[in-house]
Amino acid sequence: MLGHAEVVGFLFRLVRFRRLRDRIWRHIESCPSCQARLAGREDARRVLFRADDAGGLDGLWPAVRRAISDAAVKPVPASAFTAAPSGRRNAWRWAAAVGGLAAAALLTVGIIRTFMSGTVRAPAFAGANGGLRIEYARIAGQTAQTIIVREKNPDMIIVWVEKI
Amino acid sequence: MGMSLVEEKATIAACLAGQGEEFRLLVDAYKSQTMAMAMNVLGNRQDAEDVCQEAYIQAYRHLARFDPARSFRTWILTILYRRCLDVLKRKRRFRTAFQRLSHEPALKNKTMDEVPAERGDLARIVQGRLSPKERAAVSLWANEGLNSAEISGIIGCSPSTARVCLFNARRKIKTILEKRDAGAR
Repeated sequence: MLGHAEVVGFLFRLVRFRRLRDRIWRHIESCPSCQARLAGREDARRVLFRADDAGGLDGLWPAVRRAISDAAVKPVPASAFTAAPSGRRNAWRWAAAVGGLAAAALLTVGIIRTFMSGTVRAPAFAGANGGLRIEYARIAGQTAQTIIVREKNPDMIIVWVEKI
Repeated sequence: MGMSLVEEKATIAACLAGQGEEFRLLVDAYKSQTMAMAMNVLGNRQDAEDVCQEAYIQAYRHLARFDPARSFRTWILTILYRRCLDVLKRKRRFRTAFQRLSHEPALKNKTMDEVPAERGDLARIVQGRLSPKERAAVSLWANEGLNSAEISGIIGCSPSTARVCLFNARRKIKTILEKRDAGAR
């Protein structure tokens, strides 16, 4: 049979009405029986990474500094965040949608043509036998996430580069 | 370590006036807290370091948009949480696309040697049982001492939803610890 704390917990998760849920929460906060079923702050800290686990992080500021001293990364003036007139905003949305559709269409045509012609050009890569190593990759001057995928077939390595 | 709101405002004003070096004060004040939060959400030190770096760069770029009524800590944690979700989403997408292929990251993850083994094991269990939102909520509650209203502002939901996240997270952690303690006896 369900105990008091289980019933309250079940109701708390089940109820969607905010007021009622807040009332149940207030009960949970003050009821010793309900509190006993929940981890306290110290308990939670036993299983979480804490600020003192973060280590020295000596490299963080130099890395941030390098990035922000780049001319391209400067605080954007506040005026840049004011909303554009709705007509202009809509025009941009339309332009983006049309551009996206055109790119998708081109990509689809490219894929179809590649597979229809039956000639898939293999990308050239160096040192595949000795393992492929990529120090970093950039897309439009920005550091990109790089993941190397190696299939069971040793002749194929896929390099996945994604804009961060 | 932290900064008072007055110090934060002065530092941000200096940065906006062109003294970018002053931003270091903010990075140094909150780097450990942001790193802990990122590690709790991502469970991986290398990703956590990258996300922290990106979050501070993004914060610097958008300093002019900073609301002086809020604390910088809350703001940077909000940015960080969104970046963490982006990373998790990207990884999920990648896993789905290449499920049948074996893969290795280009950069090897650093080990968690600096975290005591026992807590490292528990943290890994927590990673598997709690959702990213629950991990963020409980990390902010336990490590930063934030309440559900403050947590909701960071994870982008209503205070009521933040309470449910927190409730679920605390209940799951309690169960994990009870099972572990029962096993140790």
